[in-house]
Amino acid sequence: MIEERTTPKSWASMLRISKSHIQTYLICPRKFYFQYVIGAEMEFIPPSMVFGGVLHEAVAFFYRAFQQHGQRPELSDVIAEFRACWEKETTGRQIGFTESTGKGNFEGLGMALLKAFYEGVRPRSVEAVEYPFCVPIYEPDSGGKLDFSLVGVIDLIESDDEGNLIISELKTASKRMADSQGENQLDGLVYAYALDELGFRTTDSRTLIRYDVLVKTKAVGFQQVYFNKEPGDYRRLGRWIKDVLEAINRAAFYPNFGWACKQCPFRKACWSL
Amino acid sequence: MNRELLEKPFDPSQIKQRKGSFGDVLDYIEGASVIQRLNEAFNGDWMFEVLDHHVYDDEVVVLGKLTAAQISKCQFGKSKITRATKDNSIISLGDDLKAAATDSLKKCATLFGVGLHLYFDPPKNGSQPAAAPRSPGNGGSNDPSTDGRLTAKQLSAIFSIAKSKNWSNKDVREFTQEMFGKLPDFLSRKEASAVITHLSGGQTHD
Repeated sequence: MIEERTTPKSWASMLRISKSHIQTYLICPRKFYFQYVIGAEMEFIPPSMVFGGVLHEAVAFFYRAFQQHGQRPELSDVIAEFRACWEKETTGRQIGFTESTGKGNFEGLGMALLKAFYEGVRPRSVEAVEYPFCVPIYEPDSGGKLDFSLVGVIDLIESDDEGNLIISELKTASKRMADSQGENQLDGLVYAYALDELGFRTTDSRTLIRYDVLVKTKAVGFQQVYFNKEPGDYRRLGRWIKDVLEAINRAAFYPNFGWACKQCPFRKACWSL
Repeated sequence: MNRELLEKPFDPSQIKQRKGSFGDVLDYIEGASVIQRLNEAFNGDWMFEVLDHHVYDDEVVVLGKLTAAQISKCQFGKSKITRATKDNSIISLGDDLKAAATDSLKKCATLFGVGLHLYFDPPKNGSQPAAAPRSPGNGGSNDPSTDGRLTAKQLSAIFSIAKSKNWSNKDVREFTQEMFGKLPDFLSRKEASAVITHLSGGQTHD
């Protein structure tokens, strides 16, 4: 079991950047502005955001139960957890459900995805569930420590029979994850770097990431894809973060009109500027 | 009341700088410039009274009242007691009280809008009220070397002072949103300085 060294509560008073910050900025700098700089109220809550969060809750419930009792909980308990969370998160909130993607549709999809997950997953030894981290970031050229910390929460850390660690990240996707897509995912890179900074690796220099993908195709599916990350990747991440931070610090909040606008909770505010 | 003149940004040559309590640099206006502005705005028809004063161990505090155009604004002013290095004796309590009164006058004048722009962005192109959310930038207007994003030390100071005043994180977020239209992490250095100054001298948040 890996002991926690930070709590998300303590992050408020730090200069920090997270995977979500970086990802949001890369998708649309203006969305970043609305969401993180001025804290604008969302015009509606995207259903996919709530749905993803609730699925994470249910899967975390599965792993916590496994960690505590050394055996899987019943599928019915996992689904009951999902339904309870779904009800709680969708009641009384202005969620942007549509006719074709209503509350019931999501609930049915969630149960089917969890069933696929339950049947497909083979958990190892659970070291940590929803593990928070806060690690330093370095200037990629000089190696000097930046004022900012990298913060986040890793979905799951497992270990094999020899105690080697594996990071696992749950994702929902509309199609199966291709190798090229997985290799470029920010999540695994950020988490592997964080774990490396904390002194944990799978081997001497590498860290293994596994994406557990809940595939929302007509016939739902569950896919596990593995990637390794190593120091060269971390240098690349360092430069990436530095570039994003510099752009943010220079208030470069231009819009990136495109596919993400349709589901953007700041669309009206953005388009009326 | 001529608000336009009262709130008109001071010329950069009139803006002085001093070191703040948290290693940051604070802008300020000298008393004479404030008096000059009041004279211009009210044609000399204004009055300042000291309603009360206190002498504490290390500082003197003055409660002042500024009246103009039949409107009065009250504020406290303070000054550290100046002591001789040699024997720690007080050099001139009168001068300290005068400094506190000037501080009080400046604070009262701020309530009329004088020098208010100093709490917002640097007055490069005239004043720009920042209480309402501004349009997002394009990256070209903000030079981080002069007034970039707040430092880690400033952010830490904001939350530390807020905690000592029983403010929750939510209180801090709401406060900076109301004051500058931004969440705390994205304040500029000047804005963070203004928040620190306000929190350091403000009332408890019950």
